[in-house]
Order: sequence, then C-alpha cells, then structure tokens
Amino acid sequence: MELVLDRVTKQYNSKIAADRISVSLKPGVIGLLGANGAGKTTLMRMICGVLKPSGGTISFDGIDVSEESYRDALGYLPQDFGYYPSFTGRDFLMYMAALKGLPKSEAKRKTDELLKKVNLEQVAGKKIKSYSGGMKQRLGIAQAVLNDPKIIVLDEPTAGLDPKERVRFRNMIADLGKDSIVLLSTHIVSDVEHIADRILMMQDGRIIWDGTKDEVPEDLEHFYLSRFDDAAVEETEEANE
Amino acid sequence: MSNFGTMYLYELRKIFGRKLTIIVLSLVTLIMIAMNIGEYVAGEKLINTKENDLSGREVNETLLNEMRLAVDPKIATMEDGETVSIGISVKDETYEPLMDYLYMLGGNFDKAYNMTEEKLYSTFDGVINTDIAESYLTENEKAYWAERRAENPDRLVYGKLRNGWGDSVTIMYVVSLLTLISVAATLSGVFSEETSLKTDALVFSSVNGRKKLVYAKILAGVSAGLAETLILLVACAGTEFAVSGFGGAETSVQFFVGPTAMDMKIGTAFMWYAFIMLIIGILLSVMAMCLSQVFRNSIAVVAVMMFMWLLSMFNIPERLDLLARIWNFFPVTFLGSWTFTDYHLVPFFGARLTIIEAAPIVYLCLSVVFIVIAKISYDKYQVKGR
Repeated sequence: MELVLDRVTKQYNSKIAADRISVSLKPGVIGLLGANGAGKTTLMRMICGVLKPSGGTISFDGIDVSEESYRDALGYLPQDFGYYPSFTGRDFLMYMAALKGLPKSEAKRKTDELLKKVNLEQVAGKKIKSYSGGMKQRLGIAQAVLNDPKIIVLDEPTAGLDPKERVRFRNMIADLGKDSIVLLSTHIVSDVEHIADRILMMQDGRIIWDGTKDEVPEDLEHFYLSRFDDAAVEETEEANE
Repeated sequence: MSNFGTMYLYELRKIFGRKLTIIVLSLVTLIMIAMNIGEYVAGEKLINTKENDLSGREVNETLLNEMRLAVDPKIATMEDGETVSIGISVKDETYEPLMDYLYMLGGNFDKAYNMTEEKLYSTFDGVINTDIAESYLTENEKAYWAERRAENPDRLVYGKLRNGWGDSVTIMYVVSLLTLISVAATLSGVFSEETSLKTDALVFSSVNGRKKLVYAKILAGVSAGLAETLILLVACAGTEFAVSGFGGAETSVQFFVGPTAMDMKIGTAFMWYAFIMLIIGILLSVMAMCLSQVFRNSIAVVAVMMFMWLLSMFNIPERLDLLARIWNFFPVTFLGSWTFTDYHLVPFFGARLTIIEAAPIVYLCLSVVFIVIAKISYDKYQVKGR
C-alpha cells in the first residue's frame, strides 16, 4: 500500500503553492506541519482529487488520483468542511455513505458504529446546525472513515476541539494509522508529536523536512520552529495562541 | 435500495428541508387559490345553475331564436330613426351566457341580439381569416389550415360556459408564472449550495459524487419542480372545479378563447394545457438547476428567472417571423388563450404540428439541452474550475 506523489506542482499565476513535491507514503500516521499558507491544504486537496495539479502525478498503488477506484479508497476531512443545515447527524452520515457507495445495510451499521465511536450517539437525531464546533468536527471525522478508507486525509482535524476531545481524537487517529495511510495536517506541533510515525514539514510549497520523530535531535516544537524563518515563527505562535 | 435511490431521497430532503421552499410554495399556492376564489367572492364570476340545460346543443338558428325569446332587448331610437338594442333584460337565465358570448363577439347588444346563424359563423370565419392573414404564415401553413377548416367546418357546440375546464384554461398562464417563481426559489440552490455550504470538497472526493450524484440531483429537482407544478395546477383547477363543477367539458373551446381554427372541446384543451404545464414545470426546473450549476450562486439564478418573468410582459411582432415564432414558445406565457390563434406550424419528421402539439416536444428537447449543459459544467467544475 503506497501513495506516491511525483513532482506535484500547483501554480496560481505567479504564486507557487506546491513546488515539485515528491514523496512516497506508506501506512501509518504522517503529520504534515507547516505555518498558515505553507501549502498544506493545497497539497491535501490535490491528494484528494478536488484540485488539479499544474504538474506531476499522484497515485495510490498505481491508481491515478482521477480514477474512481482511487476515490473509493479515500477518506477526506477538509479544513473548513460544510454540512447540510436540514440534516441530522445520522442523515449526514447516511448520505455520505451513499456518496461513498456503501450498501444501505452496511451504511446503517457503520453509521451507528461511528456515531458511538465519536460520541455523538445521543445527538444523532438532532440537526447539525445545533451541534457545537467540536461535535461538527467529530461528525466530520466520522464521515471521513465511513468507507474504511486506505488513504485518510485530515486537514486540521483538531481545530475547534477542547483538550479532552483532542486527546480522544489523537487516539482515534493513531488507531486508523495501523491499517491506513493517514495524512494529518496541522500547525499545532503537539497534535502530531504523540501519534505521527513520520513528519513532513512544509514551507512555501516545498517539503523542507521529512523524517520520524526519533530523527529529531531536540524537542519537536523547537526543532519545528527552527526550520522556519522569523516571520513564519511569529505566525505560528499567533495561531497557537 | 441502491445508492442512487438513497442519494435521490436525500437530495429531495435537501430541497424540501429548506424553509424557503415551504414558504414560497405556500405563498404561491395561496395566491393561486385566492385569485380563483376571489373572483367569485367579489362577484366577478357568477354561477348560473341553469346553464346545463343547453349543454351539448349546437349553436344554430333554432337555439338563437330560443335565446331571443328568453331576453328582452332595451330598444333605443337613433337620430336617423333607426332602432337598436342597447341592453337586455333576461327572462330566462338559461340563455344569458350565450347572449353574453354573442355580445363579446359582436361588440354590442344590437348585434348580439340580432345575430343569426349565418352571421355568427361568417363573423367567426372573418376573424379567423384575418388572424391567418396577419400571422405571416408560409403558403404551406395557409394550405394546412384551409384544408383542416374544410374538413371540419366551424360549428359551435354549446355547453356550460362557466365551468372549471374553461376557467382553468384561461388562467393557466398564471400557473406558469407562479411555477417560475416557485422553482426559482426552491431549486436555485441545488448545485450552488454545495459551494456556499462548503460541502463540495466532500462530494467530489467521494466515489459517487462525480457521476451518479449529478443525475440524482437533477431527478430530485425535476421531481420537486413537478410536485410544485402539480400543487399549483390542483390549486388552480381544483378551486375552479370546486366552484363550477366538472360539467361542460364538451363545450367548444371557442366559447372561452374566441374564434380559432384550432377546434377542440374545452375538456380536451384543458388536458393539453395541464399536460404542457407539467412539461413546462420540468423545463423550468431543469433550467433553474442548470443556472445553479453554471453560476454557482443562488441569487444569480433567482435574478435570471425573475428577468424571465419581466420578459413575459414583452411581445415580438409577427412580422419578425422566425424570432416571433421562437418567442411564441416562451414557456412562461405559452399557456394563454392567445396560443389558440397562433397558426404557425412546426415540422416534425414529415408531420406538421400545431404549436400546442409541438410544445411538449420542444420543451422536452430544451430540457435535455439544459441537462447536458449542467452535466458538462458539473464535470468541468469538479477539478478544473476549482
């Protein structure tokens, strides 16, 4: 099981959001660290096939990103994911299950299982618009893993979560990483510190560091900050605050 | 149930789950009912229970004589000594609607009272001949109508003139106007809301989100649009039938729309108009969804469709030939009484169709074109447009 990015580039007029990124990802949790504007979301959207690269290729076990079977293996939680106001949490998952091609009986079973797992069982019949930010985020995670995906792309999944929920999330993501390629983007170092098997650091559309936590010579946060210039450091601190 | 069925049902839920859908649909339905009932409440329409007595009788000299005996003309003497009828008092209400109709045709009480069978049908012929002459028809079209009229000479069959069939036909264009408003409000967000709600990334990264979903959305939108059209049709015809009853279906359409070479019974005309109205419902629904996909902005869709509503107030002169012929198919204004005097023909696989016969085919073809445009735009938007 391997997700291969080969010289993936995205250019918007004169701005290069992703600059010839080549990387091969295997099962496990891969933390993608970078300041705001580093190109994390652009890269993730290209991996999910919702943004076309200006150059390069993305494939999973030889299947191109544009193919239906690639999407069959994909689970995606966008950074700022939306929902349908008139749907309940259960409706939303059942609808997403249909979009992901799950048979109805399996969709129902997975929906019940995931609602329990993300602790939304009690509010499953309530409309999503009444959910708190954390509850919506948990619902987002649940929809991403409905189809037991082999590639799970989570863009800032811990945003809006309280510390307790964040810990629960980390554990859940760590579990998912046992059988799948989990790409987790964040600018909060502690999110990846505990669970990432591999860490990628991005700046200005490029991967500037690729390694495991064990390869980091010092505290991850200091190491992370030291990789960026002063402006990026300030921006990250502001975001962490 | 397949994924398609589930997606279709949830797409329907999205449409009918919006408060705007329920509010607009309720309002336009109330307007429709109020318009119909209001005419009776205000006394603009009266129910004549004796009308059925003459139902099914051909208008000929015998009937006209009976009518003359049933009314008393108010005679006035003119300056030149000639006497004319300037009004009538009705002795037998059975004949009142026939008198009213002849008044409308003749233009004054005197002509109406003194109308003979020969005068009546020659007036009819005259009006139809003038309409045909002023319609900028081709020689082929003129020959078609001459042949058709020779085969079926104008004969009026009297019936119940205040009936649900006729009242529904003459007000059907209001149903199309209200359907336009209703589908504009309810279907403008079918595609654009995926962008505004930021759900498009989830949709396009799923296995069914790129192909099957577009058809599920279109089918759900068409179902919703058809349901709205049907509700308005029932509100329109239902109130008319409730007040005036189902009698009089055999009455000649000419009693309701004026002299026309498109001879048919009013019941048949109602069936045609109701059928075309449903097809227009499909067309307007598909158009709203296509615009929703192309613009990805609900307000822009509503703006374009309200512009169509304004366009319904314009008319293109017949002398502009092709443009006028196309304009006559404008769906919002098609279902008026004026359509019965549009004698243009549409060639179709060797046959020549009247515009009433051609409209369902034209509208369904246009619907397919809009679906294709929406699908192409949907495919392009998935990756390239983002």
